Amino acid sequence: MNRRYTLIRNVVFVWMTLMILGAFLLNIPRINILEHTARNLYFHVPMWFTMMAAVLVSAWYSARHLKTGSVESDIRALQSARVATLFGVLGLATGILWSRFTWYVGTDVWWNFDPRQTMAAVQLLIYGAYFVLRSSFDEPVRRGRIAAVYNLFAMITVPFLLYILPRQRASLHPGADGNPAFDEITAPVMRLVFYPAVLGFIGLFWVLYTQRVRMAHIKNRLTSNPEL
Amino acid sequence: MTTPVRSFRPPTFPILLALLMAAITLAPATMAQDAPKREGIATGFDSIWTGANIPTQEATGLERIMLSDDKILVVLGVVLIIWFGIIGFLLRNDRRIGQLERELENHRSDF
Repeated sequence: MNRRYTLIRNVVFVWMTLMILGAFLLNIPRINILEHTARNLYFHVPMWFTMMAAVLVSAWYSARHLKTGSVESDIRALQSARVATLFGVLGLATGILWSRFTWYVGTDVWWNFDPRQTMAAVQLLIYGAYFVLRSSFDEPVRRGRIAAVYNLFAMITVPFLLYILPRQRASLHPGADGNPAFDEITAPVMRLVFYPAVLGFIGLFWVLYTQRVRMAHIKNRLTSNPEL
Repeated sequence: MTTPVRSFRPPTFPILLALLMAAITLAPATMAQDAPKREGIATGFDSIWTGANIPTQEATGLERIMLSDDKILVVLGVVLIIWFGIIGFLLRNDRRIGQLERELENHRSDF
């Protein structure tokens, strides 16, 4: 535990607390149907931004692992992908709840195959396969290299599944076919909380991810196998 | 030498799969492509901005609770989901650390 780590961790915790206070206490313009659920912008959307950041970190270390073969890079790629999956699942779950009680009111629908939602589920299954793939190898060198190649492939699918394809169809999400883009509909006061929220959740990702990496280091020293 | 401890991992992948399966069974026959013709489903987002009124049934049960106070409870639900997700992650880490502590004890007894 070095001092820089402790400092960043504490800053993240204070930052997130302020963000949550701002998210609930600041007044926002009231819009029909959305009403207070517009505040979910501070929670649901950063989940995906954080997942994207985590996926980039994971792919970066996978590329590093392929280049250098270092165990450290493999550990970081795996743990980053784990936390990315956590945020992806949370993003999906929060989206389901939000849409159910906002746009699907009176329809008894929990899942309507919104294009972006469906693609996000597919995305999570692709990352699920990454963990299954890893667990099917006992031999660390092969496991590391094949998993790294697969992880790079998985990263390439992210922009297609989460941005390009969903925007071609009618969806509840901003920027989709016929919908206004994020820029056109988000009030300035909401940006005041939204951008810090994105940073805060990415910071939270960093805290969770570095904890896992440290645990993997200890496991590696104890058992010569860093897989957590 | 320590005997490798076979650790229990909550099956993330099967849970995701089950989630998707449940979604498919719960979903109505209509898919998103047909939705633009059906008011109140996928058209919901853009019709807000044009101010269209979306006809819905009378809110009952869970909806009546969630829609009260201008839907602030939906935001509470979302925050709770994230909180429980983080708790779950920390619990898993905690169990892992417990295993590492036991392995450390095994190592000590080797000397």
